[in-house]
Amino acid sequence: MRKGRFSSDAGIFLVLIGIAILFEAIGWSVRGGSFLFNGQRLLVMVLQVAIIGLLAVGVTQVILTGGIDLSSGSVVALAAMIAASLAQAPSARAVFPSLVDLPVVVPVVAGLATGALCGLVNGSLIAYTRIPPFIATLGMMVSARGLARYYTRGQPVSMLTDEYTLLGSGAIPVVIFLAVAAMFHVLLRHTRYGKYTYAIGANEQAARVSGVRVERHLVLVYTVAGILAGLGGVVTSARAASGQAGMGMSYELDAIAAAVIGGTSLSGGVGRIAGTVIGTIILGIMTSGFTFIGLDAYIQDIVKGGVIVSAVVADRFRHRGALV
Amino acid sequence: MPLRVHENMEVPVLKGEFLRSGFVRQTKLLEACRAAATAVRVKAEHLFEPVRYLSGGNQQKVLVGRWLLTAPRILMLDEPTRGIDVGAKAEIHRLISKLAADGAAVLMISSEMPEILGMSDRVLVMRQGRVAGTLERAEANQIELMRLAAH
Repeated sequence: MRKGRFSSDAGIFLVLIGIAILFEAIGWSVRGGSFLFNGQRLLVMVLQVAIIGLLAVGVTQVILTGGIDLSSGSVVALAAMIAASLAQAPSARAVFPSLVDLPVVVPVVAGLATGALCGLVNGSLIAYTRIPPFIATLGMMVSARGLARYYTRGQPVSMLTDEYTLLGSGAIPVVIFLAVAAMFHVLLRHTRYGKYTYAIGANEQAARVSGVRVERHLVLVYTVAGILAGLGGVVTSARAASGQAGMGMSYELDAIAAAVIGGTSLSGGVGRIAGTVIGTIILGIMTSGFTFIGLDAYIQDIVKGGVIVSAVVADRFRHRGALV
Repeated sequence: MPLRVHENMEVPVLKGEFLRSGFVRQTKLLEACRAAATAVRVKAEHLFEPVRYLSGGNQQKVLVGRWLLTAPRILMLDEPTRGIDVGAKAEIHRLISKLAADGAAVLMISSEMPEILGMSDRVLVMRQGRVAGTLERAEANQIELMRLAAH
């Protein structure tokens, strides 16, 4: 009876398995070794997309409302800069020389708050001026990147404290990504917040007349997406032990790609976090796999673009087939 | 309309008894949806069926069911039976009568003579945006109604 609820995730999961087996087979023939049975590689595979995964979770819920968020990559950079500037080791305080020693929560909260603020601006513009989400977040994408550069006049912020860099060490980014994904899976499926998100994406007018405060909810959704981008910035700067204005470049597109590969419909109302997680891992497995089989880096991008478009085309056909 | 039947029905009632510390009480809510869907006789295989796969009449019944869930004291219906088949129409009529019998005030907007005469206790006839007259059930008939409406 509930079979229909899982079929779309099952489909994309099979694609993931298929891609993995493909690389495994090519791996044996080209490299004479296993692609998958290597713990370190599996970790790196997810690690390199953990930040994109965080952004993808945020943008999934935005796309569910029928919107889009192009600003997440730039917000990563801005949050990374601001958080890093508050987490510099005492001997190297270039940004705030007279800063006292702060507990590690201060830069972390500052990074999240930066993201929240950017998201709040995005959401308010979209909900109250009714400009298209594409335009509002495009503006934020450019401005946040500019602000990240302006903040230190383009200088990287380095020499961060050990407590801070711990947040990005080892497998911690992966743990953060999966924990956030699990949390949002529950949030979107089992709370009013989630159900309103789906309702707005399915039919905004119907949601409005059903008593959903659409404007307020949209602001909330974009703000939450901003917080996740801020978290991405904190983890990125912790991992790199520095804040750089060029961080997160074009991550927003990979995040949107992950969501779309995972079955989230750009017209809103359809999609699941589980799909987005699988989509994210597909991006990671492709990057690792292409490198493993020794594919030219330029060709990797060409193939990746093809895969993203194929995912959307396949999705179109699946929905058309189901319509009878 | 990518939402499933129950997802569509539950939107207006995500509060009060159906929430517990922010979480939706899914089992309780599904039970209520099932009861409402049964009451309006939605013909769907199950509540997880996307609404768009249903016939127009059944989609309409889902909508009536969704507002039934809110246990309304006043219900406004704008052309509730336009464009649906006779069977579904009769069922919606039966349901409206039942709601009214249970004490709800129903305001039905319609441009269909038999529906108006068959359903109404009191008819307000509108002409060019103004109330042209009021007819009680006993005095309402096609001739009176048309006289007020067309003049």
